[in-house]
Amino acid sequence: MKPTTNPEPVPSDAIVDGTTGAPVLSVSDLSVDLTLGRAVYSVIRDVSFSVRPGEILGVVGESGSGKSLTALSVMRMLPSAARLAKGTIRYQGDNLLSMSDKQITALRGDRIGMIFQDPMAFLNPLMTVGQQIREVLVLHGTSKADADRRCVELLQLVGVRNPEQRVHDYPHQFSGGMRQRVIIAIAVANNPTLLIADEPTTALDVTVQAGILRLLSRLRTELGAALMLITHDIGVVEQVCDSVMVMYAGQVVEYGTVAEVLRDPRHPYTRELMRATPRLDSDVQTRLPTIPGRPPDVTNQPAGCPFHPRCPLVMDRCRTEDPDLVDRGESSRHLVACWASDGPLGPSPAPQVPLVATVNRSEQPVVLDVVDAHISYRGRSRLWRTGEVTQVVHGVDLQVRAGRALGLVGESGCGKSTLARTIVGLQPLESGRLAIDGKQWTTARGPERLALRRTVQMVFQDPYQSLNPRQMIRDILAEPLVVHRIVERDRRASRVLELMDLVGMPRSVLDRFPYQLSGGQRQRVGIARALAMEPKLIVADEPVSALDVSVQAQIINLLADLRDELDLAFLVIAHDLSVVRHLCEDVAVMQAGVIVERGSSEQIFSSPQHEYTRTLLAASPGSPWAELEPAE
Amino acid sequence: MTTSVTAGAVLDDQRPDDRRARGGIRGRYGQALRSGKGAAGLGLVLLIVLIAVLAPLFLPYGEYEQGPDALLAPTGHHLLGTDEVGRDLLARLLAGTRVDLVVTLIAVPISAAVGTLLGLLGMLSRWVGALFQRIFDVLLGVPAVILGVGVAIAVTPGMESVIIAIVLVTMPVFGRQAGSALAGQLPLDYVAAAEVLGFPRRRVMMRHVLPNIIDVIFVRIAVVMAQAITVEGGLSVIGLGIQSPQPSLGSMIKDGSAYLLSVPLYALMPVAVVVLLVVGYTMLSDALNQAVLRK
Repeated sequence: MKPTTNPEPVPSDAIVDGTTGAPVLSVSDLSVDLTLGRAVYSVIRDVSFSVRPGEILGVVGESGSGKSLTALSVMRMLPSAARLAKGTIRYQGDNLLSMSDKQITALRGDRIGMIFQDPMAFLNPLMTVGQQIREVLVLHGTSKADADRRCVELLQLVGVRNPEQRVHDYPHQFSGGMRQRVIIAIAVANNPTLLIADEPTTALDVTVQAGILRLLSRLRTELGAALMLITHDIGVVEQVCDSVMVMYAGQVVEYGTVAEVLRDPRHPYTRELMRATPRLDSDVQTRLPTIPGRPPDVTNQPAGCPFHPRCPLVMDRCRTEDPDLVDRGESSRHLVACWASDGPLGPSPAPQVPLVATVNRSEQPVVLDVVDAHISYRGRSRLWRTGEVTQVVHGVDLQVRAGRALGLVGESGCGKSTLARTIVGLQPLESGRLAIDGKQWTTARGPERLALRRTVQMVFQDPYQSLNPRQMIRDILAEPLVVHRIVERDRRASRVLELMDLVGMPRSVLDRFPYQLSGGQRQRVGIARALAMEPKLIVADEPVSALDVSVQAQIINLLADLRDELDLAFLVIAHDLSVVRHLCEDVAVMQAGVIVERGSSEQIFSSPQHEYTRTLLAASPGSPWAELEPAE
Repeated sequence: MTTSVTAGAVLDDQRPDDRRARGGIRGRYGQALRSGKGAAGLGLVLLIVLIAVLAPLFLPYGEYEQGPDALLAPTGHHLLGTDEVGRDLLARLLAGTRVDLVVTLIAVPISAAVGTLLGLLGMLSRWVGALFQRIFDVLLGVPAVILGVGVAIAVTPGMESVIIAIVLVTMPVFGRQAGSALAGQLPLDYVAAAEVLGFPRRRVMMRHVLPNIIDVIFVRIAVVMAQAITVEGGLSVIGLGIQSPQPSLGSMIKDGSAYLLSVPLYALMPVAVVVLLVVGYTMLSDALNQAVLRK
């Protein structure tokens, strides 16, 4: 805990120059306790910030940082286990905490708009979007006659084409990005002065994300609203925010203007988070800098500075004393909670290490050879009528060589996951050739199929559901060895230990169940399980997209090491070009079931030829193509 | 004062199934039994079992032993009185309870095991799985008594026919439950992972899917035990269940209903035991449902 005597009340001055007027929202010394079982944990400690009209404040943090709880506190929508311990929350000078439920309900949806991560969960599937926007309008006092006109205006404002027709459509008739636009239309329906958006683009494709972010920043200018944007992605902050508040373990560790914080981060966590985020303007195929360890659990907060166990610049003092937030800014306010923040941060001890040079890897044997692959889904047949056939992949050619990684990039629905599932044998191949080690494997039967099956393994996207929750880690890793008699019975135990070492897992977790591990650890177990089969090719479907940013880098580096040490071939599926940049020598870009561009990483990233590749690149942080307007 | 949303939305790292697994099997089942409802339900059932098994040791009469006095009101010697041929009603009630317990304890586990396995067949073949699900639907649509009548026609009425009838009536419950639980597990990546790892389908079904759905089956067993008691009662009341002279709760209700006005306890006591068993099993299943499945 911080000392209670806070030398200076933080929200007294504007963080951003040029934003005028009193803050729309000002929060001071907010602390929230969470009750789990009988124990009470402090999950947010002394958080203070303010947002002014026309300002976009980015709140950045990883899981457990308290960023979502902070937003929910402002809305007075804390879960029942959480309790506001102290602090004040003022909306245009009025204390939100002393308002009656009726008053706060009148504010929500009217003066304060909310945008959530999952648009489908927020929209009522049985009402047209027009009805849903109308509801908010009429509830807060728009006349019914005006409401219809306003619905169309709002859809137009958020960039939905043909708004007159689309007001009559149901949510399922909209794409994910369009649904999020409808949510935003509902949120801004009554010209709110404050918008709170919790991970509004996390569930969306990169190009759609770019569109939504541009929309939010346009609305800020047009409506003059203050926007509080919660995100895990520092790239999003860079793209749209004016000010940024970095949270770690329930505390603010750094707070200032985006320009100042990102140019001269004074807290080691901010800097490491920036370095660990895959970017397009970093060198191709360099090892991503990682933050060791993982964010602390709310139930187990370290003493002293909460970041000290992972900090590269840790000093003795950090272990015992938690630093206060102090203003280190020269021209504008720049608050930092770090003992070492009085000057620019010293160099990070982990320099960028290039991954192992790719010596003549093009001479390596071809492991995966896909020629003119067609894949289609057959809808479920209704008794005698046969279901409809949907072509998903139309004539794809791919080659992956031993010791090389191919990144297959595209947006959701482009067929990349279907192709991945077909390559590992979960989906039938309709026509074409899919050869592993030169043998067509989708039609192989019996022992030949089993032998080929061992050579292709998969790492799944969601480590929360790809491990059997009822098996201990030891059994998860031993089972392939037992079923396929990969090693002699008396070698099994030692092979399991070898696998754990390969993926950098401590042996102490062998007797745990998956739910006792963190997301990154589970993903390591998933990788070890694939390695147990001694494969030649590993298909990794979005292997890091479910993980915290600081953990993503660890997994990407692990995959690169395994590729080099074991001479493995990798096919990495991703929706984001910046992720494959660090791992893959070759990149293929897929759109609507066909590969539109392929080439070496250097080539694709430095001179993309296809329009679509440029659109994808433009949407990634640090992109030199960012000035291009991505289409939707 | 604060509006509440579910805590899971906030604690990023605690997905629903994590919290479900937390504490392990012993913990969650133990919690169900430690809750007031669970303890009361289990206590009630165990009390009835104990009395039915132990009390006859202290009774002077056996359930088939005929005395000189028929249709006696309760006396110091015959605590519940006697039936139409002078047998001690208490002895017959305890014996009848034992018969019901034995019949249901044999039938329901068989039904649960077979029903669950048939319900999981969709894992091996989508066709066969769907076929069995439809068969279960049909069986669920047929009233229990009509199924029982069919069984009684095919097999001589008696303990065997009652057991078969209970299995037929309750198996579709487990079959459908397992089938829908399977449908919930199939899209999960751990099933796909097992396929990619080349595990035989039967192994995935028994070692991976079954342990993940077994909880819903266990919780169901308690409900079905209550249902099974009423099936025995129903069949015996219409004379197609346990046959005289063997006592059962149902056949005692049937025989005693003729003397409802003169010897009311004859029929009412077995009714009370049936009600107590059903209440006990239902409370137990409610508690299990809450603690184990977190509903």
